[in-house]
Amino acid sequence: MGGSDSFAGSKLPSDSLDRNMTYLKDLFTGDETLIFRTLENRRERKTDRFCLVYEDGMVDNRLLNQDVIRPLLEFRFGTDGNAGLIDVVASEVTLSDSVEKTEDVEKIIQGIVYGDTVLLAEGCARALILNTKGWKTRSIQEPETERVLRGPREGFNESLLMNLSMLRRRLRTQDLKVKFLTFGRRTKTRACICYLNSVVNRAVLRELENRLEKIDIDGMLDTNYICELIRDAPYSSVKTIGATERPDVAAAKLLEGRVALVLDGTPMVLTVPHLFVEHFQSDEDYYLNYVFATVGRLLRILAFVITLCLPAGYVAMTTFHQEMLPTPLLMSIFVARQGVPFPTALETLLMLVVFEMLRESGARMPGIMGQTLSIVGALVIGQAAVDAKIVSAPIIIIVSLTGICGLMVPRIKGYVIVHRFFLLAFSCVLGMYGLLLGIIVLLAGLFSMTSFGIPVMSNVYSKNLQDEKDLYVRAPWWMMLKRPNFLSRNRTRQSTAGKSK
Amino acid sequence: MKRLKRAGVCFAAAILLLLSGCWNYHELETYSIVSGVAVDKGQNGYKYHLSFECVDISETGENGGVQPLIIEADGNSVFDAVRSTQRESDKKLYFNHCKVVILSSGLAKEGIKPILDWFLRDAEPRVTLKFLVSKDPTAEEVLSVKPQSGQITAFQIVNTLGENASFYGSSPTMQLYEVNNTLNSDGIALTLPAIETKKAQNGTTVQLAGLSVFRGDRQIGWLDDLPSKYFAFVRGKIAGGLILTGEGLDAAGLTLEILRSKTEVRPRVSGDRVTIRIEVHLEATVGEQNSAKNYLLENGFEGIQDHAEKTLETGITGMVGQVQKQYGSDIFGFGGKIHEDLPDDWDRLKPKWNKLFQTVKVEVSAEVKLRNSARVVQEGGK
Repeated sequence: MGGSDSFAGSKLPSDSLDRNMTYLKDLFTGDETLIFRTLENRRERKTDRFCLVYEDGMVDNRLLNQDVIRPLLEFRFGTDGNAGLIDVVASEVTLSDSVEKTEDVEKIIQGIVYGDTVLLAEGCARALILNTKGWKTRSIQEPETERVLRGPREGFNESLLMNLSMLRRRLRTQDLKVKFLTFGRRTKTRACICYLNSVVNRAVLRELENRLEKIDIDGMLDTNYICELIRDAPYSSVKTIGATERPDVAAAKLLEGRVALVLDGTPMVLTVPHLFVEHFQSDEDYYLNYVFATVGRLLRILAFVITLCLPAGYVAMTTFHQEMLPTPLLMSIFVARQGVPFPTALETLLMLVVFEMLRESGARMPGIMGQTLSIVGALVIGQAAVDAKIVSAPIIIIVSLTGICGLMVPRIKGYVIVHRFFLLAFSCVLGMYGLLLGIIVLLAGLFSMTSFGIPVMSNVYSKNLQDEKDLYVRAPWWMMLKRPNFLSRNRTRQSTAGKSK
Repeated sequence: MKRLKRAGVCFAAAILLLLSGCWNYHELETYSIVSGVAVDKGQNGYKYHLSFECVDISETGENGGVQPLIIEADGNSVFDAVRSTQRESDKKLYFNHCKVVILSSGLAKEGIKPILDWFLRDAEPRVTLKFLVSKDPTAEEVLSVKPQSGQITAFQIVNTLGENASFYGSSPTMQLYEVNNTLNSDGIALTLPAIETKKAQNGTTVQLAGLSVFRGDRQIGWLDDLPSKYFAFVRGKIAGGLILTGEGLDAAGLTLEILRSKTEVRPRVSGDRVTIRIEVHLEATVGEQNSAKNYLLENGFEGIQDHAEKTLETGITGMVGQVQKQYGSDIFGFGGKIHEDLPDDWDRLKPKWNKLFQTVKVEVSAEVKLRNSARVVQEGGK
């Protein structure tokens, strides 16, 4: 993680407090939040001088006052020289849970900018880094994007340690391994890899570590940076890395043998490998009755197919294969098409673009303007456009249905938007043949995609019944005896088979 | 070089994949949807006169904007007539949703095979197209009648055919592929449903009128309503309908409704003597007891079953005899049945089957099972 402005290896210049202070002041020139607090202790006829260096706003002031400054001022230091002073302070004076003695400038800088307080003493060439971090973080809330009706409501926030604590609370075992990393030359963002040692797929873990090692970037503000840097197929829109804001989801994925990556500063936690079916799995599937959950999952899969193929299918049917439509339906489409100036293909394309615009503006717009959008969307674009014969009514129905189904599977949004247009283009040129051709191309793409060595469709073509139990259906818990085959080493989830009633 | 090769493969794949589809993008509103076709003999030197009933849809107007539009054209072949409509129609005629083809009797008497060819060969008309023969002088008359329900006569006819099969049973539907199969098989002759116009209180309407009987591809006569129903029994094409039975003078005192029916035809051959055994297995309910006599009380289920069996047996025997005598055309497919069951005999009989058919002896045995009586008054309660 080195860089031109790195101080790795450099040491504090001298044992003179004043010179060390000047050195640090020079380093931080222009940073006016940096505070140098000098203290003098004259209890034993000898003056011991200290200086505390910290960033204002990053430290807990009360903690600093009570547990560092007060003991420093009140302690009766011995009279024998200054050489051991810093050791005495570290072991006998300050009330701090974490004290590190160092002369490494890089470490000192890192401590200061991350809320620690650096203590310099007269006559010592080394400094103490005291943990006094204290800043406000967002409280633990239910994540907006992954709401549930039933189930835990905690969500990750932006604090790495708090996120780890949420994960740790769910997996109370020494088997949970947590390994820290740092990303970003300038942001020095901390991250950590979590996995259950006895369950994790070693090959996946090794692969992840290898790829993470190669990252060299100056800033790392969200896990999506990592996502794009290490994903299997950089140009594909198929997700090969999962992301969640929910600790319960992350814990469940760890239990299945996946590896999680938590990054400081973002609530989005990554999990690898990511199988295609995870787009359709909702955390609520596991908290609701399995019958209900299965219906929901099948609906989501159906919605995915509809939202992907419906516009293309409509164009193919009405412009190439009119014989496939029942006569009454053909006649009503015929009536609706009367006087519409655009060809069906163009009409569909236009309305899909308009829908995407509506969706995008809805997502980015401040909440108070929502009403305007719905009026403009529903009345102007829907009704007025049909009345004015600019588009035909069936198109509005097709596009709305496509949109609604698309909103049912938000996790696969990007893939759907791109490939919906891809299929539409195929069917505009070649009709149903083109649509099928396009679908074959998409399927070939999906089936050849891997996520960290695991094919994303592996459970779809698995011959193992246990792998199918969490695919199209969500089998009841007493039936899911094994973990997914391809993800974990230790497959036994329940050793005593069957219901425990 | 490697790059060039890769580009070549991509190009070849693109051509193979993209050019093999049907480049047939066609907006819906540029078509004129044909719902039915009437084929008549042509005049003024033309061979055919075709009338197309098209669905004319406008945005507004009464009846939901749907109106029939009859386009007529002459031609020396069917296709010729179809395309010569393009002299007057601004939209291309579109046959994928065509439901019925009505042939005039005059044309049918001269043979229908030449007419069928275009409907079979062209990509647009479906093989499920239903064929009928008009009892009126021309087929066009039938097609230009204003329908009772909806606006399109062809739709009414095709719905009538469907409902008739389920609830009446007199005119078994023949679809294009069945017509073709029948014409190209030995030992069975074609029948097509007959249709005629009928004077009603407010104008004219159309009704099914039994069957038209063919020998080869030429029409030779008609079968009336009741014989057509018995014909449907022999062919095993009864899906519903009624059986009127009773005793002596009270011939229609009992009406049974058919639930399910199955027919087995078993040929026996000894020398040139052919005997056909027709077994009808029928399940029915009592639909109406339109008589002073209470059959249910007096005769019970068995009695009613006996009546119905007798009615069926005499009816079918009579009808088969009439066809043998009058038309001598094997519309029942007895020959085909012999071919299936006794192929060796068929090879011998085939050359003289046309003559032999008239001498075939037919034994009919019906087995009627009453499922319930739908009784509304308790016994003894009167």
